[in-house]
Amino acid sequence: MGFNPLEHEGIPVDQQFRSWKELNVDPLPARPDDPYTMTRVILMNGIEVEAAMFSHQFARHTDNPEIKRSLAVSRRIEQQQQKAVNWLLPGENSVLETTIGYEQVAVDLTAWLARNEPDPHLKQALDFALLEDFDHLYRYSNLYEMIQSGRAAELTKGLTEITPGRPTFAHHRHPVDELRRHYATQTVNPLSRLHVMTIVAAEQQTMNYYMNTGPDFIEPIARSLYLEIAQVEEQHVSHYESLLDPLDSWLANLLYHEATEVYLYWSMFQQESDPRVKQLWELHLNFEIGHLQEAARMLRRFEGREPEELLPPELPGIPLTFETNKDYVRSVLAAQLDLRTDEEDYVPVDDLPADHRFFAFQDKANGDGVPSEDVITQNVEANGRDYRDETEGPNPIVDLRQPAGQA
Amino acid sequence: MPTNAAYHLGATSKPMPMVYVDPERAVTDEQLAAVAEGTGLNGAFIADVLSDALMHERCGFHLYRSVAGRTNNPILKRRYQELGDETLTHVTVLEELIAAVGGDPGYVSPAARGTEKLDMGALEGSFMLSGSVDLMTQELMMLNAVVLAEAIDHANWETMAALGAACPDGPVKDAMVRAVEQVLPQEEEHVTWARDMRQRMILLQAQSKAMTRVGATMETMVARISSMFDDAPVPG
Repeated sequence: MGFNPLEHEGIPVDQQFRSWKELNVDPLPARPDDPYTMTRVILMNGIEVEAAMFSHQFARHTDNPEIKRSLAVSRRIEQQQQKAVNWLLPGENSVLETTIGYEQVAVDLTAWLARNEPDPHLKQALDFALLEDFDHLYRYSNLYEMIQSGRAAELTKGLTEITPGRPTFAHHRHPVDELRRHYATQTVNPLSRLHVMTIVAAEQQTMNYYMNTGPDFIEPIARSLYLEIAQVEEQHVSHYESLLDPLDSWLANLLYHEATEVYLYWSMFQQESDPRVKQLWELHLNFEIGHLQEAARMLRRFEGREPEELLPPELPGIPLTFETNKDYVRSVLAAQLDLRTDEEDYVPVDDLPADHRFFAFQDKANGDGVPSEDVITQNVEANGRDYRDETEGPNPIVDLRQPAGQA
Repeated sequence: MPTNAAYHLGATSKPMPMVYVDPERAVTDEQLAAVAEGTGLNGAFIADVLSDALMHERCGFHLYRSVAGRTNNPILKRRYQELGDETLTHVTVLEELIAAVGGDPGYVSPAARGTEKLDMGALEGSFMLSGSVDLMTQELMMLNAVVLAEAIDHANWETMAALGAACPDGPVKDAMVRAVEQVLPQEEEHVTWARDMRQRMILLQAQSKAMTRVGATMETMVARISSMFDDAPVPG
């Protein structure tokens, strides 16, 4: 059974500020027993970043003192939460090791959402981008082996396979083909709304991370690979955010953001294996209920609407779960490898006319070489084969299997 | 009584070029064609128009609840509450009318979505920039939103009367006429009150130098707004 967060008080907002010491948490070990503890941290960091940035945008669209002050208070707390969460990441891990964590999030989060998504249109949107993030994991894992002599499976613990997905060079679409039809806020299943808001925040943080850390590398292949994949992450943010209904007001959006955070902290709390981190999820869950209550108060006061009419009677009883999704990913890969987009629609690449802008954009973007291909070529040259972690057998697509003699 | 359309309240809608509706909640023009059957009117269009009018009434109720809670004038507060209560009965009347003509009150038409955006814009206009104006002007902004809402509301019910007149004798016409008879007189009263009150508020300020004096304390302004209509009869 889920619960109705509006029936709980949580921790009042004015009791949520913390000291520097409280925020400067001890980091996780570089190789935690459960790699999904790391993915939960990465996801919730992205959720908090979205909360803060949404609040900033909202604040720039109003000078109502009561709203601005309320936003300022909750935003400062969201920022404190972001620090307490993100500072769990171990400093001894390199940017590239953290990146592999980001891609494990992208694969297993997206796959789980797709498996549990009731709306076929939204499920398709998730499946589509899943294959691209799955391929990013493979490309970064090869970079990791090449420049750090690392084995990505030691980070993912074999819970997420590493093998080619829809090849990254094929992700580079014309921007107008990145936009999907959006759900209607009145008819969308509350679970679907939670799924979309979650994946938008997660992909946005991935975009932010790559666009900022890419130039930290010295190796030209690393710089160029981050550049290329950072652009794809922008595409994914455009893809997913276009699913959101622009009809929702600022205050309704605030309410939905807080409800999403409540659901996610509750989910993380349900499954966390690290007791110390579990405590943090519980604390933040109670913080978020406090934020939700404040958003609900403002919705009633300024829009005259009852939050109970916007939110479902209870949040989903199934927690969003990080778990292995190997069979599901393989099935999507086998079925949708060749899918592309044409404006709002998904189409097999063979159905696109030769003069479609997809091919023109491909020629322009990939015309001077493709870093995501170069990284594989260079790693094969260095190690005699590409890096994979195919725990369930060869890649389901024959053309994507390791050439004989390389394994 | 729900005054919002949402999944858990059984809402349905119609897919549009950029709007996707989950198949289990999607309706088509073919399905809507059964609305106002036997009248010769375009059933799908009537369904859309009625949904639009219902959305406007629902938004009107939210508007009145919002302004009643924010005004500093007790007379306006009381009147906003009264108008909100009457608007809520209009929501009920429309829901019953929609059901009576073979429609679904949970259906949200594309026009209704557009109206929700329009009405939300008017409501947001009454508070999102409240820091840009003094307390008296905030009162005027709230009243402006009410005037806009009532103008559309009145036009909706006049149109409903015309639609009823265009129907041949039968249950659909009867239902429409009954609803219009119940609501239109109140809508005429609402829009007249809103326009008159807006005019009166502006005249009062125009005739009183003290009302908008720069530097007046919050307490002074609230006191002035609170007693704004004490010295003269208030319309409505």
